[in-house]
Amino acid sequence: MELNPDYLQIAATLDRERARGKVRGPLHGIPFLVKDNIGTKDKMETTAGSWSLLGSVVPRDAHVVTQLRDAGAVLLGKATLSEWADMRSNDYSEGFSARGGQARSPYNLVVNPGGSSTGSATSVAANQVAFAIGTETDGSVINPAMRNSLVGIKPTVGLTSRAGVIPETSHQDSIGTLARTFRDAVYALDAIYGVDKRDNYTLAQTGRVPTNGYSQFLATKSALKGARFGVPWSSFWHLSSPGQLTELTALISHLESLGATVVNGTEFPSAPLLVDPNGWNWDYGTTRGYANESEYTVVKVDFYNDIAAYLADLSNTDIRSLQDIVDYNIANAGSEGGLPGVHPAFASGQDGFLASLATGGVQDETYWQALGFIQKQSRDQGIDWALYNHGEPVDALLIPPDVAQSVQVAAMAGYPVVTVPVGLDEGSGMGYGIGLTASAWEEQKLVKLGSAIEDALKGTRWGRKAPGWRSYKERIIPVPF
Amino acid sequence: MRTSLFAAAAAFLPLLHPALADETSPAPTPEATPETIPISEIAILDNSTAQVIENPFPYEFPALWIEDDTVPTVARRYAHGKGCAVKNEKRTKRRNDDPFPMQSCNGYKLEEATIDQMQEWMARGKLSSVDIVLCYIRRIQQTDDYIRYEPYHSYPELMS
Repeated sequence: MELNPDYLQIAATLDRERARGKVRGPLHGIPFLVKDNIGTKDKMETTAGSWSLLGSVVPRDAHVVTQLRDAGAVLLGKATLSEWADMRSNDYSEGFSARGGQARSPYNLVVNPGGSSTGSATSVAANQVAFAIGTETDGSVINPAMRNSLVGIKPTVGLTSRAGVIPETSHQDSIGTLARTFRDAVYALDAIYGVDKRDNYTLAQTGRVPTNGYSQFLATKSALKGARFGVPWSSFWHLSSPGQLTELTALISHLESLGATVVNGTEFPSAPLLVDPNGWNWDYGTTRGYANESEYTVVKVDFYNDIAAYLADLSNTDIRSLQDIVDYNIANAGSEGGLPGVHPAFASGQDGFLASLATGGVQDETYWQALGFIQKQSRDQGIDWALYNHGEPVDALLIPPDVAQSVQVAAMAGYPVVTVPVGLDEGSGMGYGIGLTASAWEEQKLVKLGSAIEDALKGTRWGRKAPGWRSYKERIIPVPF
Repeated sequence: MRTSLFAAAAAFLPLLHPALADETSPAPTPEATPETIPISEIAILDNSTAQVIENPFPYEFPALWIEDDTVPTVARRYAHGKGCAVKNEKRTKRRNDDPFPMQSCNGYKLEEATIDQMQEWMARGKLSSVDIVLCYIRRIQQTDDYIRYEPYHSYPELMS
């Protein structure tokens, strides 16, 4: 979306340091992008893709940005995203923001490129940078990483600081990494995790994380010997497309041939309550008639309050509340589509914002019940239950990330997810992958097993594929899901 | 004739520092005479020929068509009859299925390179971070009009 005017000087300074014998780490001199909802206190804007925040001045770098600068990486620019990280509308063009335009995948330029960390994925996949940082509330790192044949890591909520990042809900927001290889994604993760006094969720990691990074856990396929995986078949896998199912089940057999134990049927007792069989739906509780069992109930209320807290820290702006943003989008409907049916990328206008506005941020009984419900069902009655496997625990669960509901449960739980690229969908040419999830703070396992799987795919027909640039001369908006 | 981006960038750096270092009292500009006009290392594109590229493929523009090298020449020769010499043989064209190849970076394959690989090149003095960054900028220039509709351009302030 925007190039850092200082990129040349930053790179030259790092070269000079290296010449004097100082190399800060594996990221020294390596160019990267951050998603435009991540604050940078430099010459670049931080707008979440919205014109309403153009010219706003952040008080300081987001914590993860400071960490990456300190690691010696070169901040090349801001990556496009779906505006406001998919919060504003429920019928929209993925990867579109008013300021950034339509981001498209180099795999197929006329379909959903993945999102909301779209540019973070498409730029890495197209070899524009070495790695990128994205954010995920529900699928927004894993989905675009997978669709662009990348490795994506969405850490436990609280492993990476959300301070200085435009929020959606503090209960589920996580800052993650996207790269072409697992090792690259972990190098980036190593740089951005850690305690930050400005995000008290990060205090929860104390004593639960390695002191010197996760890259020490990167492994080869030999780590699959004796590894135990659970497959929540009827919870998610049966919702996969037939083509992907054929490939992924063959892949799982391949892992077994390398010594892994795969336990089929490690199910989620909560699946009927959480998994909408018709497709990803973060308001499934309401669909079933119970607003106090819905993820969206929590998100709507949290966004109202969390965005006000973020805006309060800005200077040089008149935008101080969700109401201000909503008003701006209506006053500037031609570019921002604040009314339904005006802007092709925002067919439903800003109905997500309006829903959040209607809550007034009130944390009423329905809200608290919903929060308790989604956390308990996704954790105790979900991932942790499946991992425990009736007393014969498995190390991690294999999930199909293209079935977005699988990543959604981990999102509600605040648990970590990784995706490893497997192949390209025969219909669309878009990437799909295999995912792993485990319990909170178990990134160690995901790094070890995810990298082992990536290594196991080498020499097979599976793995990361180069972009095919399908329909590169076309420019439709919206891009269909 | 175009010089490499790297010489251009290297030349810009000394120009940047004096401009940025002293914004309050700029140095007085002496009258420009042939002896005092600064000579920089940036390539001289001083006439229309030098500024023009005859063949912008494959890196500046994605080629729609490429030579169809799948049709063997022997078959084409015989199609004209035995003993006929084939003059001005034109190859058939086919649609290009690789429209965005990535140019190598000072001779090194940056496309799909890992972070470790880049570190090794930098450690051995083969590529600098500036080199890598400029190669990525070149790649962004090549591809960004396709994978992102860019309503405006934001390029570094090379001349502040």
